[in-house]
Amino acid sequence: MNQKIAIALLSGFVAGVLLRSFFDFGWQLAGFFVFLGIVLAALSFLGEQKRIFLLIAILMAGIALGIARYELRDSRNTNLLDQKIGQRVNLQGIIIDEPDERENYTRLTLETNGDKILLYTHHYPEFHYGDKIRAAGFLKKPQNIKDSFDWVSYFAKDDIYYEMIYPKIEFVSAGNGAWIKEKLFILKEKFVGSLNKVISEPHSAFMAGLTIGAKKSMPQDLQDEFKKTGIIHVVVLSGYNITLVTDTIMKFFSFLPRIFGVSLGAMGIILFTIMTGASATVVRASIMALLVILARATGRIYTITRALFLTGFLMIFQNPKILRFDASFQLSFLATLALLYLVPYFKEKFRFVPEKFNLREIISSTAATQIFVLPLLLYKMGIFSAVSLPVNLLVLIFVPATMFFGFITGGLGMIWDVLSIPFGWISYVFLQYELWIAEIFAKLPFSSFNISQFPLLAMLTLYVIYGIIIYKIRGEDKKSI
Amino acid sequence: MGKIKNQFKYYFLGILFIAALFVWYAVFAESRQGLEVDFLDVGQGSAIFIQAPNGNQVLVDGGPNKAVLRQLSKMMPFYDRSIDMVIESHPDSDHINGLVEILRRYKNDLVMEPGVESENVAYQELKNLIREKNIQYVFARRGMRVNLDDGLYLDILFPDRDVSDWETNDASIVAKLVYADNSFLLTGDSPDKMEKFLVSLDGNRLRSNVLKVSHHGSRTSTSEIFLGYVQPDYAVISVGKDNKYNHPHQEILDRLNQFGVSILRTDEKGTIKIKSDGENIIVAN
Repeated sequence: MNQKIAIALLSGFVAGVLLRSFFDFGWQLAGFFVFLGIVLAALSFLGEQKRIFLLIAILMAGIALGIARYELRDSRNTNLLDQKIGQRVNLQGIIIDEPDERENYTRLTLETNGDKILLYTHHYPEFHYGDKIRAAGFLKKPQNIKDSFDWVSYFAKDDIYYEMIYPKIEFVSAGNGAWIKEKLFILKEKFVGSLNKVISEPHSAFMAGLTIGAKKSMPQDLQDEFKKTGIIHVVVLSGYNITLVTDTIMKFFSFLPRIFGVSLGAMGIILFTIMTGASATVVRASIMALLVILARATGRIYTITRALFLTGFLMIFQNPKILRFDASFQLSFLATLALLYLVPYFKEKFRFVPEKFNLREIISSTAATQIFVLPLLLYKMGIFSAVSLPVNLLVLIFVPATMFFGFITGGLGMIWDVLSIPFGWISYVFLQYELWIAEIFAKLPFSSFNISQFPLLAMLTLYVIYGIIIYKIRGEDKKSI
Repeated sequence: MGKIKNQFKYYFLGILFIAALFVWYAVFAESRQGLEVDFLDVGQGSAIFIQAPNGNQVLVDGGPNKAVLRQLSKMMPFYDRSIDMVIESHPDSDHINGLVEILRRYKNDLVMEPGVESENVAYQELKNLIREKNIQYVFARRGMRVNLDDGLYLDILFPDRDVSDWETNDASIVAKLVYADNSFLLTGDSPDKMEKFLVSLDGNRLRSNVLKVSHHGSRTSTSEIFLGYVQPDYAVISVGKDNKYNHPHQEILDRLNQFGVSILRTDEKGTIKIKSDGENIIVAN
């Protein structure tokens, strides 16, 4: 009974957050659900089926709490900056994130008096995390170009409500950020720089994406190819990508007792998280990846699946906006769930696949995660990749080796670039193969279909169907034992 | 351990096989015939890559961003991490911003520029890099000749004086690449008044098989008199699709057609590869 109450409360909370992210009825809606809950609770004392009513009452309370939490997060004190929208402003602040370098502009996140402002600026001069700058220009609110990606909400989840397009920027001073973060970003930059010295483009950009998730310099056409063939996840920092890193480390040390592999894997995740800047997104993904490692180490799948749900709840509680607006969170959660819960089942089904080169593991985890994230991808990206499964198999087999040589190339290159040349060449061969696979499959007719406007309801329905299937399979498994 | 010993011969064979592949790749990549000039597809901007028969490489401008890196690696073997000479035609962002990453990632022996002052931050960054990496650095002046190979040289036609306080387009390096009977005229963003000045200096010596159309086909360049003296067979326009300047301008296209010049545009054909054996010009795509 206790467990059911917990489930009702938590799922109610998540439902409330989701509801509020779509419809803004203010506090009244929360009040309405509280009222419903009280009525149902009262009924539970009168009626015959007390338990059901009580559970529904708790569910309602959960929804009310979810709405309230979101409301709390969303309500900001309207401040001075709001009155300056559309006016020329002169602001001084600190760059609080790594500059996001795109093909034709760089995006800086400036914090001034607790407000975050996104600055679009030229590639040069280059600014760094922790720089104090003065920016003069017109203050705007981010806007959505019709039918395109919902940038406003995307930025709002990180509390960014303002932007300035090509302001005049004046450098004031460096080194105003967290000391450790500054050093790590410098290390990251050096690592990417030494990859760039021995590996040519776009291979080096791809390698930077693979090894430390620096996808910024990946050219748009390459990103499109990756999306079409369903392998964009290898260069986007998600739980899946991070689990891959860990897997590589664990396999490399597989000749040692398991506990070493596991602890090195866990250490790898933590180092990787820090090195990529430990943004909230990466921290979330890393925590989920740690759960996968833990499950592999202990074999206690059921307990850890519950831990995953609890983790997911806590993350949503901490920032309710990620539930709807953070694709990385959603993907990480679903992929982790698939890795924990579905892979063992798929492995059984893929008994006929040889264990050599880790083939069975790769096939089962690819199939499980791909099937599981499919509805979300359809909803978010509107692309259905028909070649995703074969491409993932052909690419993922070599990804651990590629990453391994990438880390060696980048690492040695920081000491002396001549040392890294042979490893750079080996990496190049792997990268060339992977890019070639993506290229030829992307060119195939019908490799991908654009499904514009895949409705939310269809996605939710698909997940309900998934849930029912999983429930049934588990039921059968229990019977067979 | 025994397992590794058993498999050693296979690993050894595998390594030999890869080494053989690599050698053949290198042989293939290094066997060039004649001169190749590539007008790289870098969007709205310009970048020209010159490969001499003996392997000497010159990059004239680097386009507006990192796109030049991807285009270059299509033209070079993967192990080649050096470009012998880099020329900045003039310090505007659509010509030199891509060069910053080039200087960071490739080994260069010589950088040449017109010596015009600019507030473009990338230009300052390039100067810093040149100092940091100790690269030989010269101002281009009329009368200079860069020997690239037997019978292949680059003649500087402009600037003919100190242009430090000039407007940047006016100061553009104009150079003629000559390979036996074939020649290419490279113009940066030079406007028509400079073209007329060159006509007065060089007259018929401007004649070239290929003209890199100045300023992306803007109406401020490519005057009739200049075209009349250059008499190109091909005109290359380095320009981005749907650019905000509406380059190339229709009157320039009309003018080129009127002179019977074949127009090659990077926004239509991507990178334009032109090969020469010293007698004949072949457009490879």
